[in-house]
Amino acid sequence: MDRIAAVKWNPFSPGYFQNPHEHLRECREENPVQEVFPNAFFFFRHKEVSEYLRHRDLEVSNLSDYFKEKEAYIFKDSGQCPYLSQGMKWWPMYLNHDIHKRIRVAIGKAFNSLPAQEYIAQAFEETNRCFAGRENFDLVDYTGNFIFHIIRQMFNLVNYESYEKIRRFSNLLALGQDLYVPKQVYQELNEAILWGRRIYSDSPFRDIVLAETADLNLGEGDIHSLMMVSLMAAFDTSKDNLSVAMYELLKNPQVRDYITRCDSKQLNPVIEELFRFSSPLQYTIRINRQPLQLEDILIPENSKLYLCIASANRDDRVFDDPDSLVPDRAENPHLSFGGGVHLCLGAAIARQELRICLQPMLSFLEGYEIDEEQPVKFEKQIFMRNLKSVSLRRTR
Amino acid sequence: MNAKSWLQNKIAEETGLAVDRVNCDEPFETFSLDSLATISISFDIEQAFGLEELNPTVFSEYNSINKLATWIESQQ
Repeated sequence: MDRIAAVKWNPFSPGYFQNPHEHLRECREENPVQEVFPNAFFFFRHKEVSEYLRHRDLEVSNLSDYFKEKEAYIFKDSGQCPYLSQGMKWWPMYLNHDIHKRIRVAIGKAFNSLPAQEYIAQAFEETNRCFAGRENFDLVDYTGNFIFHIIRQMFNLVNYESYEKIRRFSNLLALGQDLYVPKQVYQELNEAILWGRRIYSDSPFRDIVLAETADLNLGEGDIHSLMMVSLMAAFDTSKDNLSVAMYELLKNPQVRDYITRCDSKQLNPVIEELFRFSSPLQYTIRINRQPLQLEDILIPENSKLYLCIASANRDDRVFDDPDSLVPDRAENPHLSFGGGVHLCLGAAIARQELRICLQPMLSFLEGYEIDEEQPVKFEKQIFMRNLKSVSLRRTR
Repeated sequence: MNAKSWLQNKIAEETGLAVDRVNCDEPFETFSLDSLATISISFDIEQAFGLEELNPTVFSEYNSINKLATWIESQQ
C-alpha cells in the first residue's frame, strides 16, 4: 500500500470530473488500497468494495454529527439559523442499527405504496409534450424534467415554484454529502433546506411516513428531514443515472439500435448494464468499529472506509471489457445500488423508470444528435457523478 | 489584486487573529486551519482570482502565504 511512486487518488487530477474512470483504473491497478487522509482508506477493487458494503460489522458514518461539530464555524458571522445537522438527522444512509431499520421501513413503505407506473407514464407524456418540436434542447433538462414530473406527483409539490429551483435544491442536498465542500456551499445548502420546508403539501407519501413513525414523536423538522432525503433520492440519483445513460447511448448507435429492437426480457440486462456503466453514486463510506485486517494492511478501528463503487463497477477481474457498454452482458454483479442493509431504497423505482421509458425515450431522441460545437459539462462532484449539460440539436 | 495581502486578510478573518499577527512566512499549520477552513479559503481564492478547479492540496505544496501568493500570481 502507498508504495513510493504509486498513483495517489486525486479527484483534482486533470479531466477527472469529465471522466473519472481512467484515474480510477490506475488507482485500482497500481494502488488499490490507499490511506488518502489520516484514518481514511480508499478501496478500488470490486472484491473489497462488495465485501465491505455487505459487511455486518461495519457501520455508516453520521453526517448529522459532523454538521453539529462544524456549524459554529460554517455559520460564524453569517446571520443564518443553522439547520444542517437537523436537516440530515433522519437520513437513513447515515443511521445504524434499529433506528435505521425503522426509518428505512417507513420510507420504503411510502415509496412502495405509490402508483409509480402511472406517475412514470404521465411524466413521460408531459415531458415529451414540452420538448416536442424543439430545434435544440439540453439532454439534462429533458431527463431532469421527466424525473421532476415523477417526483412532483410523488410528493405533491404544489408550491414548488419551478423545475430549476427543485433541481438546485436536490443538487445541493446531494452536494452537501460530498468531499471538499466549502462553507460557502454549506451556507447555500442551509438556505435551501429552510426554503424547502414550504414545498410539500399533504400527500399519501407523507401520510405513510407519518403513520409509520408515529411512536417516535417526530416534529415538523424531523418530518422535513425525512421528506428531503426521499426527494433527493428520488430526484438526483435518477436524473444522474438517466442523463448519463442517455448521453452514452446517444454516442453509441450500435447499442441504441440493439435496445430499440430488444424485447422486454432482453431489456433487463440492458438496464443493469446502464446502471453499472453510469454508477451515479460513485463512492460510499463505512466505519469499522473494530480493527480490520486486509492482507498485510491493518486498518485501525474507527477508520473511514471509502468504497469506490465507480471503480468496482469497472474492475476487469469481474467484468469482461469493463469500459464498454455490453447490452447483453450475462453476469453483472454491479454495485450501483450499494449492498447489505443499506441497499438503495429507490432501486426498484429506478429500474421501473428505465423499464418503462428507455425505449420510448430513445425513440423520442431519434431525431436529435449531440451538438459537438457545445461543450459537454459535468459538475465538480465526487460522490455523485452529475452531468450538467449536453446540448442536442435536431437532425431532421 | 495583491494575492499576498488578500491571503493575509483572509487568514486573519478565518482565525480571528489581527492582520499584523499573520506571518507570511509561517507554515499554514501554525494557524490551526482544519480541512473545512482550507477548502473554504480555496473556494474564495477561485472566486477572487478567477482560478478553476483549484486543488486544495496547494496548501500543503505551497505551505505559507508568501509561497501560495507567488503560485497564485503565476497562474494568472
